[in-house]
Amino acid sequence: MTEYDVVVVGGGATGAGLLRDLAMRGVRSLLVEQGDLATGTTGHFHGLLHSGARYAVRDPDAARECIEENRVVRRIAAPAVEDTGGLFCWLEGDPDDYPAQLLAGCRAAGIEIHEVPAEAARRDEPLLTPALRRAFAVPDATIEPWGLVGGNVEAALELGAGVRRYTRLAGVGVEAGAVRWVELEDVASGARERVGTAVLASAAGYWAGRVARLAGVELEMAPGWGTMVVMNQRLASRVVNRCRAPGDGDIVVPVGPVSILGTTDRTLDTDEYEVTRAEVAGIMAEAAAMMPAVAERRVLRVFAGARPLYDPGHDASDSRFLSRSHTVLDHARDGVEGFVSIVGGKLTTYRLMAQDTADAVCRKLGVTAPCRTAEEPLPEARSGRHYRLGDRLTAREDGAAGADADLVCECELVSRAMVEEHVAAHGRTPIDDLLRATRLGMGPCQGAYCALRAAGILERAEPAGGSSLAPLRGFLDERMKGDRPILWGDQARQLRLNEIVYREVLDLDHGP
Amino acid sequence: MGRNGPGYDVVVIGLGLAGLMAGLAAAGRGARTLVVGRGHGTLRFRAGTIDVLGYRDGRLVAAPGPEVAALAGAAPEHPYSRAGADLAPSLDAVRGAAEAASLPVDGSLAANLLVATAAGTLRPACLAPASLAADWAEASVLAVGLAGYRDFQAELVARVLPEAAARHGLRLACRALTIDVPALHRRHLDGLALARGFEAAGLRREVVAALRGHLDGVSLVALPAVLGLGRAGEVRAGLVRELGLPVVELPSLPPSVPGIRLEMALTAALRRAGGVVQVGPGARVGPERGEVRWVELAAAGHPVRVPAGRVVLASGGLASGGLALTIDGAFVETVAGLPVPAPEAVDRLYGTAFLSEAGHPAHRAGVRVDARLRPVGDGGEPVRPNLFAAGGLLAAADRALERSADGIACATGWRAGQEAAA
Repeated sequence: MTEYDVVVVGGGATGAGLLRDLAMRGVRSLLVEQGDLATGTTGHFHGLLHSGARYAVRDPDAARECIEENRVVRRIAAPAVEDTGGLFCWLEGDPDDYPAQLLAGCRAAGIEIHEVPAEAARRDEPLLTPALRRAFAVPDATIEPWGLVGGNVEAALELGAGVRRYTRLAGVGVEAGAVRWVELEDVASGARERVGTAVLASAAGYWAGRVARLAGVELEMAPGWGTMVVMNQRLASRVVNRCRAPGDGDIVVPVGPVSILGTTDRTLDTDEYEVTRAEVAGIMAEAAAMMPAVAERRVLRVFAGARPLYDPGHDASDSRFLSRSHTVLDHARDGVEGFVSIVGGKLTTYRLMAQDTADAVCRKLGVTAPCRTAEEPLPEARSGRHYRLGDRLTAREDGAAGADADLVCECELVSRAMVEEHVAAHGRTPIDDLLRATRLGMGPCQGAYCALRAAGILERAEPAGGSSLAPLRGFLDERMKGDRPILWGDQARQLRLNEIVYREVLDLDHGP
Repeated sequence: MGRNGPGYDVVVIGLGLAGLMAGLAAAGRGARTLVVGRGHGTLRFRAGTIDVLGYRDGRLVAAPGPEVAALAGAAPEHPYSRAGADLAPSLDAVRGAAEAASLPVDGSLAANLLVATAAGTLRPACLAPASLAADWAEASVLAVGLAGYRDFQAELVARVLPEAAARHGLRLACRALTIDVPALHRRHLDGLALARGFEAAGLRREVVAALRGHLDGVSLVALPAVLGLGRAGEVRAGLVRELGLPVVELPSLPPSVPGIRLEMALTAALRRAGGVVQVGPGARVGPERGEVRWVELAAAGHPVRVPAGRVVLASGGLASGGLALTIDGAFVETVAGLPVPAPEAVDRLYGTAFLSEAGHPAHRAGVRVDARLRPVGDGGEPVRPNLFAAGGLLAAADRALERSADGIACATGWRAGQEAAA
């Protein structure tokens, strides 16, 4: 039986950050993830690297944590961050007392904030409403989660950590009140294997309750879902927030060539959340109050993210709660030694969450090495340069005469070389993995052209089993999930065109 | 407002297959005919075949003629029923127009052909350009990709085609070869650019040279459907002669070269019959209600009013912009504001999977028509006495599931053109 010091469950930002933190402290660790990396909550959020200003009035501790981690993440994960800046927009009719509270809260938390004249804000962001009366600039930024997770995992691998994707935690061996081993199942083949470990660290987020049950521990999560709407254009160059208590549809985040409108908050315990048209219409109406153009522009897709919230409830005074925004639970209290869960939190503070968890794990293992993740940049971040929109275009133009001129996805400028690189590293994966690695298929045509091309290139990779058309079908069906609640106007037209191509011309619904 | 242009007996709005067929029928009957539209129809997205009925209730249709008759009998609202189930005259017209442009056509209503695609699938088609038809049984196929042309991946074809053939009880073998031809080197290629390239002898020669030495045991060479545009017959004949083997074209992503060839052939036939074709302006009909007396064309700067005796609306469905869907689930007919009943409640307009077996009810939406193909209101009475509708605009068919879009366009376009010219 293979032996590790720690098995980390969950390949989101927290799990990846934890794996790296442990590896840097010399702890032998293995990360297991049931799907691809960053496919849960990490891959389904609005892309905001919080300045903390959204929490400044209501939750000062969370605000302070956010601004501190915001500065750390900009430094250690520079290429995954776009330094957009953020604006809080106070519109005619918004609560009179909120701007003063925001300014006071930000100053108390150490968040740089200054007022910008409304005319200047509208000159910089022409799509802002004429009803804008006051605007406040804060150091919000955006962060690309797949790059962040990839960077953490890569750094951990360099230090000898193990990673198993598409591997499910099937069982936890508890003997004499302590974790001794875990049983892992290969999702594709169903093959199971026992791996010995001293500590099981659950970074499963929304699914933490399920992991706990495998170890015989009851862990009550407060499950919820948030819906986000992706618009076809970058509507602003800064993150645009409404200057009032946070609510549905009050933030517009520019992410690469698109904008994400966020978000709703529904308390619901379900595995698959289906977004409704009414929800989309509500978010758009709220966002349109800040940026009227939202009502006329094309919606590209919608998605919902699970919220890994934890409600400490009656136990709120218990010392095991390390902070209000996230919580490390040591299940020794529940009668299982060698088992910790990290719950709550948000992507901006992923590193701190990992640090707090690693501290708890190291105490158990008697490891005294200190955390160094706040100082040491991720491998690709050593240049210290932030991501800029247009980098990919510039790179292409510089190399336009080269062999790389062969574009597979025109919308997102994904070249054949990028696809082939992915295939060389990972073999014939689902096309969705390729999407996360390269953004292929995320643009306006929603995979109409690139899906067939990508399927063909994957086919070159490896003579694999199963239907060669299965990845293509899977990709198109997966896209439909984000498309279904927004099928009107141009999206409805695009879907019918895609149907002509993939059903009527290419016969995908009947082919082998 | 607006200036007056010359008058026409028949104005057809829409330049897709249905509009061209309506224009051909009307002009062929001696009517002064104008066919006008904002752009090209979905022929440019489709395979260039005439799909009449490929599947019925999920089952492959062997003989489209008899099955269309049965379908029309069982579903009185279906466009085939409205058009009258005899498809032969309209298909003969398509064949005639194609052959006049040196594009021989295979197939008949008696049996669907099997056409191979760039996904390696073998799909049904009633009529197909001869260049897309092949004898697949026991074939030893060489699938040839061109480096730099992304829409045809030979490896995918080679992997899928034998399995697809097996599903039809056929045995074949297929190998993949991607050739890197200097004439195409490092160029960003789409199908249309390649098709023009193949009309030059240089590219053809290089392709033939690159294939020599790879043809042992090969009985059929499969290339992407980009072998020439206006001179496609000549291009393919040259390749067949120089390779000494039959050559078949496999359709792929838009722009569809076989579709453009067919569009060119039909447009030429329409002009020969005396019809006038005008590409570009958007159109509206007037006056507001009652008999249509003019079509207003949104020409640059000043709208032009064209007096019209009768009008055929062939502006297409959701894909073409003839229909639009609102956020509330209401359908809008975009040219004349005709009533379009929603086929389902808003939350049931679309299935959950893209390739859902039941299709998407939204795609059955359209304009309802009477027995003469005149759009009707809720009570079944014609909305306007001299307005006819054809093609993708018509309600009550799931063209994607049935593979019936081309057949419906031919049958209803032809019939509407005849009615309008009568």
